[in-house]
Amino acid sequence: MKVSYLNDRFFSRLETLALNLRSDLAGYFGGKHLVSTYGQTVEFADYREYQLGDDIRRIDWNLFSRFEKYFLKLFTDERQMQVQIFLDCSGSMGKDNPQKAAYSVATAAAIGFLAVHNMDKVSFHIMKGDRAENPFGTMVGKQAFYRAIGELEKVEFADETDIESCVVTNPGTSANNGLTVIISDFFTESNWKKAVDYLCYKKRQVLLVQVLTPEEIDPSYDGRVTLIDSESVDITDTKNMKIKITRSMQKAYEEALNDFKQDMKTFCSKRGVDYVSVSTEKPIEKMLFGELLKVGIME
Amino acid sequence: MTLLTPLGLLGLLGIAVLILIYILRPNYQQKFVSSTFVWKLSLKYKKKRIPFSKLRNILLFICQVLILTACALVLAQPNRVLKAEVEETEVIAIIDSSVSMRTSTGGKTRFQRAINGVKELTDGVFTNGGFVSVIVANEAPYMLAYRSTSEKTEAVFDELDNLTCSYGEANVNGAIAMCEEIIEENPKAKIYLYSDAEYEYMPEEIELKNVAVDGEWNAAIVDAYSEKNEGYYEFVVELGCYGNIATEIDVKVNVYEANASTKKPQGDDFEFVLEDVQCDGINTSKVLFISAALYDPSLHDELYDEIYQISETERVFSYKRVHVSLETEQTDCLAQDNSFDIYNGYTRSLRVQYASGLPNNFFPGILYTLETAYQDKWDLDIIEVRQGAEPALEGFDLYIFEHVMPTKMPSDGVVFLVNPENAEGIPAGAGFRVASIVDFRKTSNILYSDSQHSLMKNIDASEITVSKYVRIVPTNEDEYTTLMYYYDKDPDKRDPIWLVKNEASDGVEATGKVMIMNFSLHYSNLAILKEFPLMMYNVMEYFFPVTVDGNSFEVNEKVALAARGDSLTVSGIEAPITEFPTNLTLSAPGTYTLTQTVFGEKLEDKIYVRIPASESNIVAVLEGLDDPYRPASTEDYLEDLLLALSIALVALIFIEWWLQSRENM
Repeated sequence: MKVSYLNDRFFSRLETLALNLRSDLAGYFGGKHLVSTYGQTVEFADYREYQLGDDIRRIDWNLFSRFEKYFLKLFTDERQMQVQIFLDCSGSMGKDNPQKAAYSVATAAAIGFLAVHNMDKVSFHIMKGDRAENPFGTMVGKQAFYRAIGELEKVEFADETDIESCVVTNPGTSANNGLTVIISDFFTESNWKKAVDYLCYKKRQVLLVQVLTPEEIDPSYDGRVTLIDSESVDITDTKNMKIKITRSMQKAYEEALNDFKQDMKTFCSKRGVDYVSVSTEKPIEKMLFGELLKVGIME
Repeated sequence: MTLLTPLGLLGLLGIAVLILIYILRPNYQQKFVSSTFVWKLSLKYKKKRIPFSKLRNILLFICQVLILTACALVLAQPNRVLKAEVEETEVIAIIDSSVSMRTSTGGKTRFQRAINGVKELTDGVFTNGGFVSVIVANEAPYMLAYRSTSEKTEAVFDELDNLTCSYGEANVNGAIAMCEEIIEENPKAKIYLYSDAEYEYMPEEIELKNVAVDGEWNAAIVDAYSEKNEGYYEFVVELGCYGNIATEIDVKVNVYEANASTKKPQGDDFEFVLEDVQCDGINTSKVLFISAALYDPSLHDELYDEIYQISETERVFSYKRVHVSLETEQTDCLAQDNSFDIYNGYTRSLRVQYASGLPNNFFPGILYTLETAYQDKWDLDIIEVRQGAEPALEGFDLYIFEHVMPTKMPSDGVVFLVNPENAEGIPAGAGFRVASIVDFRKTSNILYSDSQHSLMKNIDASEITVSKYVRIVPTNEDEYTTLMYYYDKDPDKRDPIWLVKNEASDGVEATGKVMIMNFSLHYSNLAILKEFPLMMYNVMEYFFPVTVDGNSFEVNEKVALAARGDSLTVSGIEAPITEFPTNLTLSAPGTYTLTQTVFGEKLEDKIYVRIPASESNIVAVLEGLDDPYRPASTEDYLEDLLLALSIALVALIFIEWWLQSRENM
């Protein structure tokens, strides 16, 4: 059964939010994000002494009358950012769990909406295998965004994804001009840490959103089971495993998952990367207005 | 272990079923998950935490196998074999070792016949490969051979050959009790009793092998003693005659060293023979040897069967030994009771000297009372030293010096010093000095004693009051034992009032047997209290005990011994006796000489030990024997292990449950 969170009501609630990006980003002209450089907005930022070549129209004559020196009045600049959203479309993200897929798509859509709502450029990168496709191109404006969202819901989740390869080989990643969001469960053998390091190298603001289902957080099954991985090719695939799930095994699983999440958190905090781990059990509004606000990526 | 229902072991098939279940266990169920990534990570955690999981699985399987095994064993009714049933023949031979078994006919005693019988029995059993136990039933039965097999034939036969018959009685019931240990091992063991007696009741389990033969008879002196009548001894002899015979017996009484005196220290020897005393083989006879002058037919004829009148010239007022013997036409079958000795036909003299600076009636009075009280044991010769006369310092057994002290301590007797008030008059070797005179004037102070000494027996020191005494200080504190003190609340101020020392004396040095009573009877109420005669009685009992009370005893009877000397030797016993009083048990009949040295002088006493009077009756029918305990059936050989197995089963089920619970952890 197809699950979708995307509707008018969902997007209308997001209109009150905005992305809170770092001020040291360069971005493009024409956006709404205040940056640390001075520009042509009406918002006062600072004074500086006149220098040769400056536009004399910007001299503050009131100050001249007081100090008999020429001072220029500086204003903050507003820039347009490029928001890249990498969506992990591997089997583990929704082959057998449409809710997880819909949750991931909704998260991508929400962040994308905030971007276009703030006049930023946004692009969706569908990660499959070792390549990230950008089927909708870079979008500016809601019309193109809504069109893209309609298509995004139809994306098929299957096979494996090499996050590192997808991110590193993506040709549209510019330096220091916006936010990159990776939405995945990160249950992959690929080295996603290198992808993050690559983005940090590109001086991009990075947000990792880890989407997990309640069953992944607290598996309720026990006994002798053959676990069939959704990314496995067949029953003999090495990804599958025979296991006797006991109480101690469940405890070991819980510890392993917590350690894995803690490792991600530590890794991200060392690099100034934002990291959010969400459960599909939690309403998506709560995730957006709770978790993302908490990490400060939204305001 | 044995199984009463071996078919129950079919339950072990359950193990095969268990293995089958393990083989056919349901396969792993498939579960589709989005990713096995975390599960694979968790394997490392799991391995790290519980490395014993495989061992636990093995334990679980073993536990289940054991549970099934235990269930199968419960069905099979396991029993532990406590004792395996003995297939071989087993006999227990009890040999009566009472002195009556010494009865001899045709050159063989009953005991020898019993030994031969046991040998024959043993030989037969050994030939069939059986077990033989031999118990010797004397006063204290013992096991001669315990479940011996043919391998020990020679040893058993040697033991039997070396066996000698006792002179006492036989505790056959004790021997039967010893059999129970063997019967416990083998309830089929047969008991044979080799005895010469018939019993009123004979248990079914015991077969009596009577070793007595027809025609045996015994003439016996059952008892003999002397009694003093108007200063002269009369002799009583109790005769017994047992067996199917009618004969006449001559009773001979030989008196040795009779009527000894200073003129004739060796005295005379007399022989009195009473002929033709009738013996009917059933009844006993009582024979009296009495002085003709004292014979009263109306009195004596009724009490005695035969009477021998001793002539005027042969009357006996003292003797050293009397030998009583029997003479018969035919020799009887038991010789040990055909003679009898009586000793102590005179009282030993005890010389007492009383010397006083202030003579009174108290000491002489009590001494003469003791003379009467002890006339059967001692001939008290009391010498009172007249005032002003010099007291003797030798030749007495007891010296009493009151107010006046001897110039030197006597060496040959017990010295009793009363009120040694003259400090300069204390003789050397007395072992004390006079410190001062304590005088309370008209007030009297009581005495105190916490001593358990024999001299304080029945004496209550708190009844005695003293108003003046001599404070004395022993030269050596350990030499004297203080019996009574002058009472004071402060124990350090309590002065000794009555002291004693009792050390070995060789009759040459100053005596080691001294008593000191350091107050005068004139300054005390002692002389009018019962404590005074009690004190003197205790002195007699303590310093002059009679060596042995009585002159004839039965074999194995306890003989109470005391001694005036430090040690006593008994003929036939190597080690001298040094602890008194003591009890001695003598296991053979005959005369025993008790020798002791008192003040360097050797004193001898003699006692006669005879065989038990009851054993002279060689045809006696004795009381019934006890039934030995015998297990009812062979079922008693097994111990049901159901309870133990049930406990094990419950324990295993609990362990299995615990392991199962750990498995899902």
